[in-house]
Order: sequence, then C-alpha cells, then structure tokens
Amino acid sequence: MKVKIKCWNGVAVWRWDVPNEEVCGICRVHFDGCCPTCKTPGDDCPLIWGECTHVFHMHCLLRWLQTEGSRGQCPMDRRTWGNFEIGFFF
Amino acid sequence: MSLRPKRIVFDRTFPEFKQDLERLFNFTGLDQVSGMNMYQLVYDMCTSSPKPHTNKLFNAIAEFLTQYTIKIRRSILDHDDVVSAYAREWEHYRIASDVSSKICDYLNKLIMKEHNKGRIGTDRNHPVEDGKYGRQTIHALAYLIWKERIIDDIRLKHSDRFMYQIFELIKRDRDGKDTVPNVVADAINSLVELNTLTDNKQLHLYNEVFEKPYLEKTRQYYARESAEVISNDNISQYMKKANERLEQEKARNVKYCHIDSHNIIIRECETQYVAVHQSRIHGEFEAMISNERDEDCTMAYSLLSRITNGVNPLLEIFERYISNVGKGLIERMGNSIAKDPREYVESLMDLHMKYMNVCQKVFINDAAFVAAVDKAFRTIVNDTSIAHSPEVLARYCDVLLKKTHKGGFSEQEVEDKLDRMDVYQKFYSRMLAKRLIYGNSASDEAEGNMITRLKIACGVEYTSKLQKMFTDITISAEINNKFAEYIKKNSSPVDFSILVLTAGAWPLTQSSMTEFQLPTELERNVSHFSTFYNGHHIGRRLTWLWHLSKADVKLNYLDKRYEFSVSLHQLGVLLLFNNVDTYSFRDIREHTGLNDLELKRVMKPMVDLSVFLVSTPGTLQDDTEVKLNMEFTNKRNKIKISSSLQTETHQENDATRKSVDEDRKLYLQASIVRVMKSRKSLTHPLLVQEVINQAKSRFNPNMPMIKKCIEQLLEKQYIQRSKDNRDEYVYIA
Repeated sequence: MKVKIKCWNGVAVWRWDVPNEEVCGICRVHFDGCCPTCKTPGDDCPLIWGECTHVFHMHCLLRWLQTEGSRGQCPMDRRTWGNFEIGFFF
Repeated sequence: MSLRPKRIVFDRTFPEFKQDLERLFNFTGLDQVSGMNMYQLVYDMCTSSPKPHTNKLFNAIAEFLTQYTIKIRRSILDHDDVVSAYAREWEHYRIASDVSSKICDYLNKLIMKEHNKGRIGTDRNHPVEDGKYGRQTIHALAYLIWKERIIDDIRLKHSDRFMYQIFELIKRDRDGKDTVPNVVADAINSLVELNTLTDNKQLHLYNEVFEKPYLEKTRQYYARESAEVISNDNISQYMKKANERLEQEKARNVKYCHIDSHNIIIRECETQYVAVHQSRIHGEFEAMISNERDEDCTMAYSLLSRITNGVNPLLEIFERYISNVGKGLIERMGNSIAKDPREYVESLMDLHMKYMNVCQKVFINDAAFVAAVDKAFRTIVNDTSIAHSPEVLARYCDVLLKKTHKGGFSEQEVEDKLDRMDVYQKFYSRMLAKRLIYGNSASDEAEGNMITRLKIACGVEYTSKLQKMFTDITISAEINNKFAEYIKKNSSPVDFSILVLTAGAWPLTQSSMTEFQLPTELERNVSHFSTFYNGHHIGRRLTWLWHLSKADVKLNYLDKRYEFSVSLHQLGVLLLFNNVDTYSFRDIREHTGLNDLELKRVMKPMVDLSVFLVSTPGTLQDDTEVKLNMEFTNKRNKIKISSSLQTETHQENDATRKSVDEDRKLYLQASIVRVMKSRKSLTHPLLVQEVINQAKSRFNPNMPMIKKCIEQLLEKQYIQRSKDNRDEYVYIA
C-alpha cells in the first residue's frame, strides 16, 4: 500500500424519499419545499406517510384532520387516516 | 384752591397757561413753572360755569403746538446737520409733551370720555368742535402735530433733507469712513415712537418714511458692491466679504433698526450678495471640494443655506462629485477587483469615511448632505459596468471570515447601500456553504455576527437559510457522535466523519456533480452510515456529494512521510496507484468514473506539484502517461492539495448569476400574483409600481423583466387582460 487513508470527511445532502417532482396533495407545493406556513424546508417542516401510502406535509395534513369535514380520512382516497411511521426524530 | 366750578374768562386764563407751556417746551425758566398751578388752570377751564371751555382749551393747545413745531422746524432746517438738530429737538419735545399731557390729565379724561361714548361725530377723524384735530390725549395730539409739521413738511417741502442726511450717514458707515452717530438711532426711534399713540397701524410711519427707502438704498448699495467684488476678487474672497457684510448688517440692524425690519433687511442683503451671484458659487463649488478648501465649502454652505433652494445645487454637485471620485477609483482598480476584493471594499470605505467627515466638519452634519453622500455611494456601489459589487463584497466577507485571515471585522457599511441584495445573498450563502463544508471559517462567532448584521439590515427572511445552514452543521456533529458509538460495535477500517445537509437550505448546485467510482476502501463506511442514518430517519434519501468531500492520506512510498489533504476525487486517483506505478489518462478516467473536465481539474494541482509525472506536460490527453513520481520532495510534510479546488470556477460564478436571475423572475411572478390577488384588477402602470415597491428591498427589477413575467402569467392564465380596457389586468381565481 503506497497510499493510506488516514481519515476522510464525507458530505451528503438528504431529501425526502419521495419520487421527484411529486407535490403535496394538499398545498400543491414540492415536497422539497415547505408547507405554506413554514419558511424553511427540512427538519422544521417534515412529511407524514399514511398507511394508505399517501404523503403530505405534516402541517398540511394535521390542519386537514382538524377540520370538521375531514372525518379523520385521507384527503386522497377517503380511507381512515393512520400514520405509517412518522418520518422524523429529534 | 377749590374744586367748585368758577366763572372763567378763557381769553384771560389761557395766556397764563400758555406761558407756562412755552417754558415747558422751550426748557427755559422751568423753575417758574408750577405743575400744580397749571393742573388747576386746566381744571378750572374745563369746569368753568356756566359753560366749560373744554373744547376751546383743546383747540388752543393744538394751535399752540402747531405754532411751536413750525418754529422748531425752521430752527432744525437752519442747521447743516439736520439729524443732530432733529434728535436734540425731538428729545425736548418728547419729554415736554409727555409732561404737558400729564398736566392736562383732566382735559384728556373729558375729551376721551366723549370719545369713548362713541357718539356720532366724536371719533378721532371728526375734529373737535371749532378745531382741526380729532379727540385724543394731549400726548397723542402732540405727536400727531410733530409728525405733520416736522416729518411730513420736511419730507414734502424741503426735499427730504432729513432722511437724505440719515441715509448719507449710513452710507458713510457702510463705506467704513465713519461710524453712525447715536443721533441717527434716536431719530429713527422717534419715527417708531411717533406712531405708538397716533395710529392704529403701528410702525406705519417708520415703514413709510424709513424702512422702504432704506431697503431701496440697501439694495442699490449691495448690488453695486457685490458686482464689483465678484468681478475683481476670487470666489473665496467674495464669500468672505459677503459673510462679513452680512455680519455687519446684523450689527447695524441691532443698532438702529426696529426689530421688525431686521429680517427684511438681512434678506435684502442676502439677495444682493448671495442669490444674485449664487451660480458663481455653485460653479466654483466642485473645485472647492476637490481641493478640499474646507473653509470655503463651509462658507458657501452657510451663505447659500440662507436663501431658499440655494443649497440644492450644492447637494447635486457634491453628490455628483463623490460618485465620480468613486467611479474613478473603481476604474483605476479595474480588473484587480476580482482578484483582491479587499482593496475595493476598503478604499470605498475610506472614501465613505472621508466624506462623512466632510459632512460633519464642513456642513455641520446637515442631514441633506449626509443623504447626498449616501446617494452618491449608492450610485458607486450599484454601478455594474466594472465590478459586480455584491459579488465582490461577498468575496470580501469570505476573505475576512476564512481562517487564514485573522483581522478585525471591519464595518460593513457599504453593504447597506446595495440595491441588489439578492445577488449579494446568493454569493454570500454560496461562500458560507463552502466555508462550513471545508471547515475553514475563522470563528463561529464572527460568522454569527455577520448573520446578525445581515438580519438587522435585511430582515429575518433574508437570513433564515443561512441560519439553517448553521443548524445543519450542529446537527451533523451530533450525528457523527451517534455514528461513532454505533460504529464501535462493528469496527470500521477508516476514520470517518460526515456532514449531512438539508437539500433545500444549501446553495449546492447539482450541476457540478459528476459520476464518481467510490474507492473500495471507503465503501464500507458509506454503507455503514447509510444503514445507520436510515435507521434513525425514515423517509429520507441521502445523496453523497463526492466533489465536496475530502480526505487526509499518508504516502508510504517515499523516504519522507508526507501527508496530503486531498479532495475525494483526488483520493480516487491516488488510490489507483497503490497497485500500479503508471496509468494512461484514459485508464484513470475509466477507473475513477470522473468526466474529462473534472478529472483534468483535480489532476492539475497534483501534476503541478509533481506528485505525478506526465509524458505530455501542459496538457492531458487520452494517451498521456501518468507516472507516480518516486522522487517527490517538498519542504513541507503536510500539503493541502485540495485547497486550490475550493476556489470558484468561472462556470460556478456564471451559474450563480444565472440562478439569481431565475430567482428574481420567480420572485416577481409571485409578487405579481400576490398583488393581483388582493386587488382583483389593476392597470399596467399601477401593477408595475406595486411590484417594484415589493421588490425594492431585494433588488431593482427592470421593466423588461417585469413585462416578461406578466406575459408568462398571462400565458399560464393566472391573470388576463380586461375586456374593456387593454391596459388593465384581471386576476383569475
């Protein structure tokens, strides 16, 4: 071995694991962006995955679920909403 | 003595009274005058029965005063020095009339009583029965008669000798030959005092007799003098003279003019001395500034600020001058600006300081002048013909904040004046990103300060992304700690740390990403980390940015132990040589997976350092042989090869500029939609106006761009043209 790696420093960016060009079904904004009430995308404005596999900005969906008309259903397919797994941790 | 009415024969009593009155007015034989006696006589005459002689007495006194003043006038005119004679006589008359009026107190009361009852025919304009003069106190009567018999008569019948002499005296004073004797002041005061009792219109006499002609004389005098001075002397002497003259006039005013006319007279002088020749001062002003004749500048400023709109041209000249100096400065620096932003920023800041000082010293911190300096610098800084100052400024900050440069953090005043804050922000955030990723910022504190400054200057929104970048760095540190614990269980071959960044917050263009074959040595790290990260964060996808990653390596094949700090791309190249000593360029490219351009870029510093020996020096071609230099030597043990890669490439700069343009378009479209949504319908000019207002804090949008944006929105059917008015837009919900 002529060259030995002492240490290295990687750089990576993360984005939400959703198909490119996909937008939030509620606010129609890119998932890479944030919901209309937030300023910065990323940790501050996470996404939420439903059991029905639909994805939304968490803020958008929670606001939707709070409205009377939602009856606790997913806005896309009207199945009762259940969180698949909340996609963030602190 | 008794208060009972007596029978009085007027023609016998009055001569007795008149004799005393004469003594009083002539100031002779005053010891024989008894005030008490006179008072009694007045009382007796006014109360005599069967018929009181009130009116008769009044008229008789008036007659006496008329005769007396005619005599006085003659004696005054007999003198050569009319003014002194007048002043002397007036002094006597003033006192005598005051005293005699007191003596005639009872008469005054009776006369004024009828007057105050307001009966028809008893006001002042209607003469007292059988007489010439209206009802008034003896004091007022005396003044009135003096005015008529002396002032008016001299003026009308004796070619105004009195006033003529006064003006002559004042002229001599102005010429500096003589000082004005006090009598002039006394004489002028008499004009004021005469009016205090006689008329409703105070100062009427003074205005008519003195002030008007005096103003005329002043105008003539100074018009002539200023014309003479300006043609004979230079501007600075002229201004000195003007200043001097104004001061003198002020003193002269206090000495003998009534307070009401001070301003009028000074204004006249200003007009003659300053306003008439202001264009000359304006003309010389630029030379004064450029030659730093501070005193002259101050003088010009203080003179011109006396007249309305006098200073405005100065402001313009001042502003134009500064912006020219600034532009000249920038032109001289020319291309070196791009290389060394420090000179540009620092010299501009010096210039700013200099003229702020000038403002303070010369223009007594006049807000208008400070604003002019600001405006001038705005023009300088936003002049794009030579330098892109937002870019340069961002670069300057970069230099300051990099580890290598430990200087005090100097004031960033200039940036407040940038119109194109968005350009600055773009460049700044790009450079901040690089500093953070390469870990070469001087101190977190300095970076934090800078952000706070920006926040104050431009608002929270402006810096929220920058702030987010900092949080990412902190979060990454936490992730590294957690990963280190995680990795303990499954031992790792290579020491490794990572930055995980939020895609949206970092200005990292994907365009500079190239294909890259990760060296096998690192694969374990990467897969470990990926598993670790996905275990903690569900629903996220990591993208590795190899071109920003870097590594430290040890070279074992040489006598000396060298340590290189290289980029990951360079590492990929270096690692290839672990097994073989010579590669062709094509082979390297295939093995690393890098594209031609990028590979050349990463190879260049290593070739330059002669880590590698190439068969075709200067260029790298497909069949160029690249050989590891086994005799490589260098003074230093640790060499940073990667650093030269960190400098911006041309394409990157262009890309940044282009992306600013893109951002502007989006911003404009968004604000058009915002405006239209709230207004529903709006005409073209109004819409443009609103949009410009909204965008102002970030940049100055140009018209073609706004028009283009409106067109795009029309196409996308966010808005449409109104059917009634082609010039009006309607929002489509």
